[in-house]
Amino acid sequence: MIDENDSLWVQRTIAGDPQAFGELVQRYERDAFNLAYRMLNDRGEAEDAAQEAFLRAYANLDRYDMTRPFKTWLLSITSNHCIDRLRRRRLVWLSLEEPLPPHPALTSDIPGPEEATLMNERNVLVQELLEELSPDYRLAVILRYWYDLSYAEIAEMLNTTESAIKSRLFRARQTLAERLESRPIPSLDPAMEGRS
Amino acid sequence: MPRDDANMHARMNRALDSELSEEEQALLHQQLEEAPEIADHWDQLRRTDELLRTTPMIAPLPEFASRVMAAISALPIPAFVRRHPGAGVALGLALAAFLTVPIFSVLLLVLLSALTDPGTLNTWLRAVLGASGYILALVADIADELRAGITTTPMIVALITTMIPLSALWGWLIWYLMGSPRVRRGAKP
Repeated sequence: MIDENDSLWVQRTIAGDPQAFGELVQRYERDAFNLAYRMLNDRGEAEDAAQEAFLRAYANLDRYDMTRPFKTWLLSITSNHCIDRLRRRRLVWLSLEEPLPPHPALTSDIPGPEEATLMNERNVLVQELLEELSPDYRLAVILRYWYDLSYAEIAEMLNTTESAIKSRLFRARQTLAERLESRPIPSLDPAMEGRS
Repeated sequence: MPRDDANMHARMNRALDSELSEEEQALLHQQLEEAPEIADHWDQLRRTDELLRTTPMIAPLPEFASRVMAAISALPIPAFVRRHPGAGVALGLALAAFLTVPIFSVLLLVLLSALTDPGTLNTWLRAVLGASGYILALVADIADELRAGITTTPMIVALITTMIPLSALWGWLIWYLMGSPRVRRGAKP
């Protein structure tokens, strides 16, 4: 569904008012950041990726199709950028010329025992589970669960078929269920939402 | 009847998406009662689904939006942005448009009065002819001076035709051999 306010802000930005784009940033910062964080599992990198997605959206605003929701377009840019970053991470890992990266335990966003008490344990568990999936499967799960997009919308965003998305989600759910097994699910602490 | 696990898994997946009819749901529950190991798997799937559904989004730091806007303001203005003229330019254009009509009207009136009045037209023609004669005389004087100069000092002609072009050629050659900016950068011409 197209939001008229979004269209208005896009038109005002194109008309030469960059502050109008600020309205779009404020409205969708959470969506872009959450997607980047769920994909990359690193707060700092997620902020950089979300910022880069907004910059790309701004620079390519003339290519935005106003008949489609701005949010979907922005999520599409963010997901493409995150996939690129994950590929680059893998290339660095595989490159013989580069020094080996430190052990994941030293770089992971998963907190140590002290920090864990301050963070939402549920988010940590979710991130651990998502890390088990390949980027394509992870993206399908994130778009389905956090953005409530239909199979058709996800397929259109990722340039693939609806049946491919169904298959990815089916397998992803199987994998996640196996990994979760009988681990307890931490209760949600509403006070920590948005701060972990 | 043999159990069709693949179909059952697909049905469980559809159940998670709330896509099953009541009939299909009943069938699934019946199948799960008959197969406890699949029922365990179904419980795990439902727990996973519940976990993902109820885990909230994560927000960026409060200063994130202002950081993005600062980065955007540092970007060059995109080509698609329609630039609007400033207030001064707009005022100038409006004033010019406002003055155009009276100025052209006055000019037209002057021209018409000159063309319809033989006395004025005669004065104008005399002025034009006088100015033309003055310019022609000036050009002729300059030509005479040059001719006289060449006659008295023939070196000037020699300098103009030989020394100056040769000096320019030498200058260019030295500059080129010393290395022009393009040669120094090693760029292809």
